Amino acid sequence: MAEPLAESGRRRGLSAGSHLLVQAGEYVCALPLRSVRRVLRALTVHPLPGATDELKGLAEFGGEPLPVLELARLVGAPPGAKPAYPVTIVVWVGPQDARELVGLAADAALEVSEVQLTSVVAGNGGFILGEALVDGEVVRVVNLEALGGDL
Amino acid sequence: MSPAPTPVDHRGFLLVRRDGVLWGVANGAVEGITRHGARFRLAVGGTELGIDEVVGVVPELAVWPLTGALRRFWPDVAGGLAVHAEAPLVIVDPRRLPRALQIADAPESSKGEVADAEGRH
Repeated sequence: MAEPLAESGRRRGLSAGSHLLVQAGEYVCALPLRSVRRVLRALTVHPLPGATDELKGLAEFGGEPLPVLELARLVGAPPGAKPAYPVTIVVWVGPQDARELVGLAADAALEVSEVQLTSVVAGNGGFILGEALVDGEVVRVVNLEALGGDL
Repeated sequence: MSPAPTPVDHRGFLLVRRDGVLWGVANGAVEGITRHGARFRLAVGGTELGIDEVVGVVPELAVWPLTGALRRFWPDVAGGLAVHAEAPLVIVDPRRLPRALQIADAPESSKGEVADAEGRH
């Protein structure tokens, strides 16, 4: 069985600033690596009637139902080219004491990179914590805690 | 889904499909099934729900509660979520029926053959 990314990352000395960079439409988004449980080839998703545009539907992951959200929609990214190898990133969302698993549909998983939270600016108060520069490129740091829990 | 599933319900569930979505209804909550042409109407909680296909009956399902992330983006109501044969499904709460299964125009006069959840007529 594949090793959870966060666990392998700790063993390799990755820090709390380690983020998984993913392509979502025309945006590159950064997901805190400690919240990433698995990166999978895009799961089969069953749409739910009446769902908002952000919710692609339900998938099965490890024998359990998993809501799958469209990351590009969540962060308001303009649509990009049709992805060659779309992925589903299974992440923990919500506050630490009430976290839950969701899948994030993205165009590609790119790399693990350091994003210092002190360098993040201009958050929108929602699902984007803010923006940061990584190797000269703007990335949107996603606030996964804001995704879970009750409204 | 991170919260633990509820204990298995040994009474079984009727599995139905509507618009490509798989739904599960506890057998004890099914009051009848009526055929309407190629489709069906399922009586639950004193109301008829529209369904496209009766998939079958399963003896048990582990049911997970709806999580906050799902409720945030799906305003309908349900009794929980489950998985059967690697397919996710939504559990109907007979006390709060989902809008997605309700019939827009349900005349009382067009009832057909009636059977209960175990196929008795």
